[in-house]
Amino acid sequence: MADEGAAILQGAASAADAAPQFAELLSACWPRAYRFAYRLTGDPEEAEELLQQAAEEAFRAFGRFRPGTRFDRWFLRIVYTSFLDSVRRARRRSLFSLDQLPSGALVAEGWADPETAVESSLDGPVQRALLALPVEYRSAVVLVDLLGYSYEEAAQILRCPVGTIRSRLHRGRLALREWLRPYVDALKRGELG
Amino acid sequence: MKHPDAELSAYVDGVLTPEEATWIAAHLATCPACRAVVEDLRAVRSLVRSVPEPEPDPGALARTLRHVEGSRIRRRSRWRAVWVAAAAAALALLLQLPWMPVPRSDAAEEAIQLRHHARVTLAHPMAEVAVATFLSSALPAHLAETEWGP
Repeated sequence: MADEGAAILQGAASAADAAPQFAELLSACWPRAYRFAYRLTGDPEEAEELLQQAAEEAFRAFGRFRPGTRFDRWFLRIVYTSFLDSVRRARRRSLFSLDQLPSGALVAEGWADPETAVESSLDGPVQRALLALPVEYRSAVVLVDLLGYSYEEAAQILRCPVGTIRSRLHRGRLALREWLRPYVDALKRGELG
Repeated sequence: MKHPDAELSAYVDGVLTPEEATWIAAHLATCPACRAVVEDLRAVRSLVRSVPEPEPDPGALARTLRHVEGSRIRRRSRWRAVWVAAAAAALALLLQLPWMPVPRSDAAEEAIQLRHHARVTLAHPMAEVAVATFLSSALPAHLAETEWGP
């Protein structure tokens, strides 16, 4: 895959010495970047569109990337800022407070019966609950709980203090607990996976 | 009793300092409400971690790299067009400089026109007759009848 990517950029870009290196680094972190983009957007096509936009910006800024630093974190940072830009453009952002949690109906659509749910069917409810979170909380939960980054790494990607990650993660999990209550209770009773 | 907040998530993740962890453990031993929150947080984390990882479309990376290459070429062409236009404008300006008219004031222009008019008028064969006729009508009679000549 990396070779294929390098060939595409190299073929038409003899002047761009950075192109093969960029393609190689992007290929190496591609699955991880896709998972991040998919969990942020909740849609495969939107995720690919977001990654294309982010890759374009990343290549333009590639001169500022310091070799030796982690490309995946650098690129995920650009994915995140690109996503924030698109959200702002779409004016989809809204103020959020745990005191104003949406009703269970928000994620209840297509809600599986927790007692008979199999593990794979949790994807829908969990993804809907993630999408209901404000972007800042969603990104913290996705980076730490889904992609396995440490608090420090997530703080680097989201450019905020580690304490902010801790707080966003906690508040995000508390909101998810309310929205996924039937599953949380079923899991605690040992009725899920 | 002060209840911990975000420390509970950090406790679940095992990222507290030893001092904080000791404090939380002591608190949990006496606070059923916070113990329930910790259990819930563990369950939420398990639920989120249990969802299957989405696999990217096999052609998505190649499409993205083509998109990057396309935008790079478009950007380069755009800059080239700007440079060519700027160079052409600069060259045109440079070539036209020697032929550009020197600005003149209105007074200078009027003086040139008057001088030209006077030269044409005096060169006319009837100019002297015209002057004599004018003078005979304009001057007093005793002066007009005086013989004028060399």
